[in-house]
Amino acid sequence: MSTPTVDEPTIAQPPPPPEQPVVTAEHFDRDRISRRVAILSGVAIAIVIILILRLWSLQVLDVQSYRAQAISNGLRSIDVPAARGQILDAQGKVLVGSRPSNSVAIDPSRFPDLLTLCGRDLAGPVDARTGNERALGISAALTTAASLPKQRRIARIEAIQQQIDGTKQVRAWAGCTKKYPQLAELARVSGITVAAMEDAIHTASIRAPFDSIVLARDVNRDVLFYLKERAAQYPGVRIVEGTARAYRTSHGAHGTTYPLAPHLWGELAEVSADQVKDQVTYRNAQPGDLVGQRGVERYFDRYLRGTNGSLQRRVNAFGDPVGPIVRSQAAKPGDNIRLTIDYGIQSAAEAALREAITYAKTHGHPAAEGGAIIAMDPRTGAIRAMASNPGFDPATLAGPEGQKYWNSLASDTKRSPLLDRAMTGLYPAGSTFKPVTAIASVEARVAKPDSIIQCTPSTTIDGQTYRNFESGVNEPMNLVQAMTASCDTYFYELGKRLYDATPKSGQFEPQPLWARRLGFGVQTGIDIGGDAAGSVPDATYKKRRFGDDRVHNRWTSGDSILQAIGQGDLQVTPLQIARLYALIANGGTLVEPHVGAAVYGQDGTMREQLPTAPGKKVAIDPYILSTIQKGLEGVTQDPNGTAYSAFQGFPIPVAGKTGTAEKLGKRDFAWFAGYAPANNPTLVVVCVIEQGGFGGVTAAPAVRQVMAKAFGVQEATIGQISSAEKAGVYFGPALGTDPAQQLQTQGTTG
Amino acid sequence: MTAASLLRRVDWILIAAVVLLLVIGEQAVKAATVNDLLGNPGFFDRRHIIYIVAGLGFAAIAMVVDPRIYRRLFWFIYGTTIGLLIIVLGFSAARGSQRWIPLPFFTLQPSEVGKVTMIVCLAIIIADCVRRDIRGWGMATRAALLMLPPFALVFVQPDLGTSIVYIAITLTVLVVAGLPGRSVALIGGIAAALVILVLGIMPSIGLPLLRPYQSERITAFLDPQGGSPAAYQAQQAKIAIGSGGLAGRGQGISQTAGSFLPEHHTDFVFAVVGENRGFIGSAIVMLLYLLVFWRIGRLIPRARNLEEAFIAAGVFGLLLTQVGVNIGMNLGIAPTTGIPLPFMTYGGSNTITNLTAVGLALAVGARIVREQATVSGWQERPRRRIVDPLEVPTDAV
Repeated sequence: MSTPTVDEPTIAQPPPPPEQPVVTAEHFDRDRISRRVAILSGVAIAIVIILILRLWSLQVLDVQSYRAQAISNGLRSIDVPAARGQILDAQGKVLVGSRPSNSVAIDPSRFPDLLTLCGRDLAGPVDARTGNERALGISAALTTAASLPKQRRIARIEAIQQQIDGTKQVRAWAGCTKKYPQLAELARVSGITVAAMEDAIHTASIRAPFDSIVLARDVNRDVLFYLKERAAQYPGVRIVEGTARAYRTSHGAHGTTYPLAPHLWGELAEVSADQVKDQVTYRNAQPGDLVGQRGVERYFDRYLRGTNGSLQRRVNAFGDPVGPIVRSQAAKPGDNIRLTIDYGIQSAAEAALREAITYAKTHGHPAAEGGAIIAMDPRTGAIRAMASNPGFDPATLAGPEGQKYWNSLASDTKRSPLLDRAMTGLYPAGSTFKPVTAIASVEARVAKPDSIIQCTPSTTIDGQTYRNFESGVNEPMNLVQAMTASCDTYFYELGKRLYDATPKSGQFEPQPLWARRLGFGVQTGIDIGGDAAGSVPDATYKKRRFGDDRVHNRWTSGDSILQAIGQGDLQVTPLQIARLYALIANGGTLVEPHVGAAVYGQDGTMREQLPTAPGKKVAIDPYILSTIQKGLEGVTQDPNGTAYSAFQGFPIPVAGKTGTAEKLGKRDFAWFAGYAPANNPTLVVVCVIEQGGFGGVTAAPAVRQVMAKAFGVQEATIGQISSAEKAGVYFGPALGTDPAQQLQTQGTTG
Repeated sequence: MTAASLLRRVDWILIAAVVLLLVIGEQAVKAATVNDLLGNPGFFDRRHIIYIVAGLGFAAIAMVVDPRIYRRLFWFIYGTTIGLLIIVLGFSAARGSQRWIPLPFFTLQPSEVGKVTMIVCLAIIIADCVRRDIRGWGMATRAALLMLPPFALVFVQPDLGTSIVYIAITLTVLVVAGLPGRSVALIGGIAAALVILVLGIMPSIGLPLLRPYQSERITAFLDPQGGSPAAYQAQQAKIAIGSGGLAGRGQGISQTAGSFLPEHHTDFVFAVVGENRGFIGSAIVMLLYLLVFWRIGRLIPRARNLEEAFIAAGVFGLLLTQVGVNIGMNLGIAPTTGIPLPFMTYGGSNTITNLTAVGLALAVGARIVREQATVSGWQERPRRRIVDPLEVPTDAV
């Protein structure tokens, strides 16, 4: 800048203009002002020089680095989600596959204040808001917690409740919808709840800030078309194409369909921050990936998930593509998993379970609510079917209304449809536990397989009278007979002898010791995990449970006697019972149950045979096992057997045991556990019907139905079998025996 | 004053420099916004041209009007400015601050209008001080009393950038008016202390005086990798400018046209020039600004009277501050504040304001004490000629 030079002469004073104050030379000191202007000019020149030097450094010296950044800036890598692998049955039938599905997502760059305005933050500042909004925030927090594993869920919900009670701090959503009315409108038209949106936005806050936020997965077609038609009204809202799970159903009578093995699969959800760290279960999982949360989807997630591909496109800052694809890497679809589950047996098991429950309900046991059936190969532990009832529809759960559906399922405490009764249902074992008592007694040398004990209508031990389930009997029995007729007094006597043989400390009581050896009171180690351990009471248990209560805290003969017939505080899962009968069937090996068989690539080639544990050989006298086997065969084949009528005419020899377990305050639980063919067992089937009455009447016919399917036997329905049994007559078409044959009325102790 | 004599006396160099900047700015706005509205690539450009035309109209009016008339309109000008600044606080906030009054066709930004009107008011007050020999603290106090209401009203909008411009204008005029160097240093020291107090001490003792977004911009400036939106903006501006290189990348899919750079047609329009035209284009822009400063600065000592000298000084301060801070922030050496780049940033209020300010400078320039470029020297000429050139009899020219 140029300024008047110093040698310029001072301007003399002008004469005063009429409307102005007098201006004198002293007032308008042009020299002085010139000097000041020179200072300002210096400042201006200095600023321009600094700016030009900076410009030089940016544009000329560092141009390479900035140009590279600019080029990468314009390239957006877009994830191409990998198709999740299919879950196949033992024959390769698709049980869980994929179908196209659309998600609604928003682009955060179009919503600059989204996370601060809309992200729910329980610890955030208190805003003025209505109770309704607070409730929405809380429900959102609770629904997130609902998808966690059980222990963490409980902890999380407690924490949330503490936070709510303590601080009442839930950030309002109202500010967000006020600023972005299209979100409120989106919530209204799409049925995506505000809480769910808030949740999604909150989750996104831990992820990369420029990734799109999925508000709702698998939206229905109506919403999709609505949004596509009115895209201009919803700036920043996008439809993202992807896939969702499709589940095979099983077909019931009259064209009805039922969800197949819903408890087995487990749901998918976006991987959590903790799960990303779990590089064993969720190998290579990236934030935003959908991963299995439980069951098969979780355990085999690393095979099923696949690897996302990516596209690199030239885009503008809003992610709108403005050029061709620069580079692409195809998504690698997940592998398929073949299970040991057999679709036919599984369908049959579910149908049998439904029919058994219906039958019990309509035949004097209205409280019959649920049950489970497990079919397992006793040689390997491969599970062929695992059914639990009541169930749910996994397709609905994975769909747009999934959250609402989940809430309704989780709140149904009366029926507990989410509970997988086959693996996590805890029941008194009843008479199905008697083989454990038999093994323990012989191994503890308190009885011999051939010992004769009088089977009486009742017995009094230590001043306590114990009744036999069958009151009209009074004859000497050996173990085979006692097992066949399920004589309670025989096993009371064994329980008493086991108690007497126990060292005074009570620590080594043979009954609980053998129960644990035979797989009770611990998890089975099933590959998909999540099964319950149950409990086997002993002296330590009593001490722990009753503490200083001198009356109850000791292990008494009564405890031992009740445990001998599978009662008392004993809690078992159907899976544990299946394992016990597998051990009896295979001659002493405690198998490790599993559902995974092999991993297949999308081209159908086998990638990997999933390892199975060989099973644990338990040292048991073979003679006692064969004696028990004989007793179990008698159950279905001897007219005195408790399931004789249920299996009458069944062409394949079945060995098994009924159980009618008592539970305080409930109706009897019906059990049947058995295997076939009796001489060369290839299948163990266990059925339990909650409050279903006699095992021989309710549970055994269901097992028969499953076995019929597994061995290809043409059969009547369970209702016919059971009715015939009750009437003492069986007229099933395919039994091939004399339909008029008189059957004894059964006195089952289960 | 006749149109002919005005056109003869007008500073064509200043006009040429400003028009060149307007053209470069218009090209940048056009290139940057071509993808902003789908299906309407010329939307911002057309509006910008309308604003420029309107601004040139205002500049012409300001040039024609004799600045002496402002003394009589002093309270009207001051009152209207304050009134508008109060009214704007009643309108709903946009992007977190209340800066705009919605009018048909146009949203008015009173703080921009105030930049020009306050220059005029300040010049009158300071001129009176000088005439009455009120210098030093008396003058500073009077200037402060005048500027405090508009400054406070702009600060609470909140508009930190514009309020800084008000301070800069005041300081420039005071420096020109001869505020002693010690006082300038003291005021500068107080200002620096205030900045430290507002930015550093008050937040740390729990009394933040800045809105979160303001302090965030400061933090973003101090920590450009911090990941805040302001840091993102500043980083994107640097990438845009840096990628321009020596000759520029031309127009097309670029940082700015691809919308990676937010505010690419407003506060960060210089980055568009930097990317599209490179170092050469950017340096030309800066030299053009230097030309503008020179043409305005040279008027100050030659003005017809003190008011006009201080008006020119105020315009000088206004333009220098805006150019310095805006380009500095584009280059990542000044914090992100909402200060537009004169003549180039898109927007009605600031385009009209800055062009009106140039119009004021042109008005002062057309009325300066004309040196008669004769060998004998101009100081011998009768003073009457230079009191008001407009009243000079035609035979004397």
